[in-house]
Amino acid sequence: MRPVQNALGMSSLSGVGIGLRATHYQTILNSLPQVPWFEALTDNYMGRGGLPLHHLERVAEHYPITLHGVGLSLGSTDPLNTTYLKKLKQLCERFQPVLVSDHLCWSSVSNVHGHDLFPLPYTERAAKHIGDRIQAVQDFLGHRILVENVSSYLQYKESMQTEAEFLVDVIERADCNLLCDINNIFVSASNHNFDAQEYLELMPVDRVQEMHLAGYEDQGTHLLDTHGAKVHAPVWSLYERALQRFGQVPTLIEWDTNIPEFSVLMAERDKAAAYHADVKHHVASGF
Amino acid sequence: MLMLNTMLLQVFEGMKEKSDSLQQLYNEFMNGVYGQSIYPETFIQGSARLSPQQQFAAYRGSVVGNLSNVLADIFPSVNRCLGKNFFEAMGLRYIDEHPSTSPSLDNYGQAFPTFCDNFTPLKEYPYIGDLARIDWAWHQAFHALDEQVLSLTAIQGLEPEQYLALSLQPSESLHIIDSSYPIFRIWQLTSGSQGHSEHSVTSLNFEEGAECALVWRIGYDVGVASISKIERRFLRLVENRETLGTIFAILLSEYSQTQVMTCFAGLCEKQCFVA
Ligand SMILES: [Fe+2]
Repeated sequence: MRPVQNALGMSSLSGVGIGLRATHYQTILNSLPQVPWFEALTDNYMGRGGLPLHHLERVAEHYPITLHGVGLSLGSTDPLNTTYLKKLKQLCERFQPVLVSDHLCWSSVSNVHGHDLFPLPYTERAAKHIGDRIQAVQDFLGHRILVENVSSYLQYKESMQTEAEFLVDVIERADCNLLCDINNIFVSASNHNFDAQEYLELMPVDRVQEMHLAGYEDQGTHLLDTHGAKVHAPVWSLYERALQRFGQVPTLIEWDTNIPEFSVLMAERDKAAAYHADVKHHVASGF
Repeated sequence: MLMLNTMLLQVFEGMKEKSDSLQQLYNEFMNGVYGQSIYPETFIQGSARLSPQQQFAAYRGSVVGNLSNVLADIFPSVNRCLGKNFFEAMGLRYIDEHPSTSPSLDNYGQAFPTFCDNFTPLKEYPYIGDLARIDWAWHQAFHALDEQVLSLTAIQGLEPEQYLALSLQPSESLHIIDSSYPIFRIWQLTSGSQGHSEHSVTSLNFEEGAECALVWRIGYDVGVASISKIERRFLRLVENRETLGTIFAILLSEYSQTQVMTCFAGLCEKQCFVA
């Protein structure tokens, strides 16, 4: 077992959780399903008040919470947005998330925001740049954050490292943890023709604090990470391999577009939980 | 706080030099994302299956698709009123002309009502801007601060002197939308709140004239209502931080005591004021 201790020292996390989405608040609060934890999207709770925060409060009364954001724009060249950081810190104080994460990307420049996960060029200079900024964020929050690998659709001409090499470089420089999105590895591997298993082998085991599972869409020319489908078969295989390498790291079922009924997510969760539990067996039997 | 600023400043100074080329790349990328013509082949490799232009298009498509959905979510009445296709086409124009300037998507769309006012294809539909103002106010009210409502009984418990010297605090969620059109009825027809979709806005009699709409929070719900001239006057005076004494004096020169007191009690009951 690898239960993850709270960044703020309050509770721990284990098993397979589900991404909290507004359409499921009522179902979750009425039926209190057997889910070990929920991941809330930080950026949905940046308002001053209202129903979303109220619902999150109710959910947090029953379940451990993690906060997963898209707004830090860690790779940007703009100054860190202090308003956003302060708000994030307030949310951390209020909801005591076990883990806080954002992405290995940039999403804004010169005060213009794209609200998307744009990749960085994979160079040492860029790794140092984003590493420094992740450190500044961690210093401000007072604890480590997790940085998630993103799906990508392009390669920059100036890239000198592979995505995996770049990610490892950043994690070491920033002294942060890794949110390993298995689907994103598969999507990028397929789009850029690299070996997903080799990628996994490079990841520093003790830094992996969470994994993500989601579905993509095959566009013919490339895979598009829609987070809008069930987990695909090759991603399940890769997940199995990741569990063998990383152990029973807390895992999340993510679904962001065409969000189905909660029961569909629950079925995906149960499937992942079976893989997750199985590893214990392998580990126990000395696999 | 000072320490944080110094610390961040040091980090930024150190990052400045090496980030110059990054910043150039990012600016070029972001310009392209928001529809300016750029040359993706100058910084994107491309693959056997996709050209640099096609690889970049995946990002532009994703950003525009996302912001387009955000506009449809925030402006549901305008979306329903104009129809999905028109709204989407108009949204695309808006997105390229108004790149997002906040890390929070909740802040996106603020300029959309004015954009509707000035959008030439909407010349025959001059009320759309005000309809967008109601949608925007609804969205603002939904995320506004949770507040403690001021009850009429609490006010009535005050001594007359305290009572007249009181400056009421309007709810942070309160928005008044003045319109030259019967905007509340238009909103009713387009918001789906009435459920009679067979009635189109064109069935309204615009001769009936101006309407003023109020948008505000009631608990965690958002209320939208048409308010009378006296209610509007009352709320505007409250917004100007006039005391109850002054508000009564001004309104009593135009309305009867019963009208003024009924208006005041009604606004309290609506939960327009906070403690
Ligand atoms: Fe993810």
